[in-house]
Amino acid sequence: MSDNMILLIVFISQIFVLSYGVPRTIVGRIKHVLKCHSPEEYPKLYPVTLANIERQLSIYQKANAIVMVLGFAILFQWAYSGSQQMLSWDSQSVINFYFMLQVLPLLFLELSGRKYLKLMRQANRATTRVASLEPRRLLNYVSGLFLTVAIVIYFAFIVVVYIINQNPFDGFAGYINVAGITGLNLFFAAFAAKQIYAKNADPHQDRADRDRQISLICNIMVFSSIAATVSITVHFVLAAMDLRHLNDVAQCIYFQLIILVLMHQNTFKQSNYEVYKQEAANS
Amino acid sequence: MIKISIDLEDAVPLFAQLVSQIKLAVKSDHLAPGVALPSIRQLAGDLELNNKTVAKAYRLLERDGVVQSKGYRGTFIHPQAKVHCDVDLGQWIQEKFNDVINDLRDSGATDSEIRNAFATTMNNRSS
Repeated sequence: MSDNMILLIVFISQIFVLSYGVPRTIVGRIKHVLKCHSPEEYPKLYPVTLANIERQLSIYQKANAIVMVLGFAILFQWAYSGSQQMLSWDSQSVINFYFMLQVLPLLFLELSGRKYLKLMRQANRATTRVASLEPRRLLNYVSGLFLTVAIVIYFAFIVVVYIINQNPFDGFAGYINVAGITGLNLFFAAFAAKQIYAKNADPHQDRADRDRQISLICNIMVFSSIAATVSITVHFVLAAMDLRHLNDVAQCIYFQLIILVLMHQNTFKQSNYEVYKQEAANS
Repeated sequence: MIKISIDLEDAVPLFAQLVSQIKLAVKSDHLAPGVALPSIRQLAGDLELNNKTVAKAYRLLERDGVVQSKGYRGTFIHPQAKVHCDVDLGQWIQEKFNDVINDLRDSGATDSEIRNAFATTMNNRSS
């Protein structure tokens, strides 16, 4: 099977997984929550009307449909032009750019979610606030072993960069790559720290659900650190072994893996929805 | 897991509510000596308070010998916290003031003169 055939299959998979499968799962999950928790019974869950929520979901679905059509347009152009590279340009650049387009609807959903939680906080009239006196630390949420694996992989990456730097391939940026991965890991660490110590975005969510959500996000950050480091290491090794033509395929697979794992966060199953019910009249 | 709660509509200042609840938790053995307290940032975030409010509460607890701050390692319950919880500095200040003001009035000083002298003394200390 030629490299372009493999790339074609993997790119089609990227289109379906990220612009059809993932959105379908996310929308299904949200609709299930809405179906099981009506505005009449759980008023605190609805700082906006149900129609407003459904409108946002519709925009999200339409955006994904447009991106999906664009993906197939790219493929048809590639097949029609007979060029070795997508859009007669550079396949890896096209894949990267297309991935950014696929992420835009997710970004829209994330921003809508933040606005939603802000409205919940503004509508919250409770004058009593409760907190635990137990300190929270990263190791409360991520296993020491998982964290150790991430750290070992990071140092292994530095060793790979050192080895390749002794006989660098064309375009190898040397130790700047270490700065890049270090910066990325610092971002992941800062994001995890924010989840652990920041205010609870949902004013009604109970502590147990919040802790489970923090644990999920922190583990995703550690996984993302490992995935990013391994991905760039794979790229370097393929380049060093004169197998750069497989980089496009590796990139497609990496993007799908990342989004599927990140999407796992959106399948977080909150267990306590009683907190969204109206309080008793005399409380 | 010991919890703390604050009431935004209570007349008692928020930092005072924190101080009294932590002291109560120590006296009732819910917080043992050496136990770590959450960071200022964590507690302020959970209670949606300003960091300075929680920092003030921790400062007053440290002054009263209820907690010990150990820099980056965090804040911990003082080994003698239970004994120190019974010391009420506020009440001691009030008693001292009562004695001093009674002495000054007995000597013939007016309330106005006492207030002016107090303000001058406080201004001199702060400048």
